[in-house]
Amino acid sequence: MTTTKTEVFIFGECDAITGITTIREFTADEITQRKASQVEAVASEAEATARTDARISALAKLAKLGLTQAEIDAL
Amino acid sequence: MAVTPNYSWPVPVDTDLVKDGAEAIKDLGDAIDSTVFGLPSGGLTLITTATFSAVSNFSVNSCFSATYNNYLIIGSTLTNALRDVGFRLRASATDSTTGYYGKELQNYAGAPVSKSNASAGFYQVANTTDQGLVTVTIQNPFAAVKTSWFSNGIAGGGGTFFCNQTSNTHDVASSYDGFSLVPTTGTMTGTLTVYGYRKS
Repeated sequence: MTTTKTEVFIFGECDAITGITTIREFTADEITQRKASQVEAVASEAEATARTDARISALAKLAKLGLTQAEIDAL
Repeated sequence: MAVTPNYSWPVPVDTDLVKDGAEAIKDLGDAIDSTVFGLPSGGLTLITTATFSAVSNFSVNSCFSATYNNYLIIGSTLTNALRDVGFRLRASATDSTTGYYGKELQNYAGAPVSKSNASAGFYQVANTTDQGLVTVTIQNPFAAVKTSWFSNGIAGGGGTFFCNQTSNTHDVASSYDGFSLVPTTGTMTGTLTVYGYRKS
């Protein structure tokens, strides 16, 4: 028999007027939003990684063309 | 009659007569009242301080109002997963989840990271090593106009030192009275302090 472990999301909330902080579990809507944000973050990180890889590749090609490191840094 | 060294308030000297003491006290009180009444009232006002531990989200409600246009948020956030923490505006305890645009520069990445019509803006770079420091300067969150903010963060040390600088706009002309810190995965622990810049 197998059991599925469900992740519990804890929501902290402070009211600036009363100074009271409350802790509760995420609502269903908040869980949905959280999962959507995770997808968005993964896509954003993939885009950033691709841009970093492209930059590294471009720098290598510039070096092969004969540019010195100082010249590359000046670009 | 002599005067005090800083504000030149009138004070009696040792040889003045005791019978003139009441008048001397009155003159001194009037001078102090005049000085204090004219002091500039600018500066920062503490709005709230909050702590949180192992939460997947942390929100501060009712911290923005018509009393201030500009705010300073000072935070210290530690995450248990190596993912950045996002920032959202909220109204009546509900986050706005669209319309965030931003750029983030990180010391460990060659190119800036962008957000375009995202569900959250930038707050802090991922930090799993120790409590870092984050400052957020935010303008016009309560006014029904676009809201903009900068955030700067540092975390870690030695070989795991992270720093980031972010610029953000929430392209929705609505009024917001609070904000949320939203890691995309894992939990976070830390503190937040919110100040308002006095208008005059």
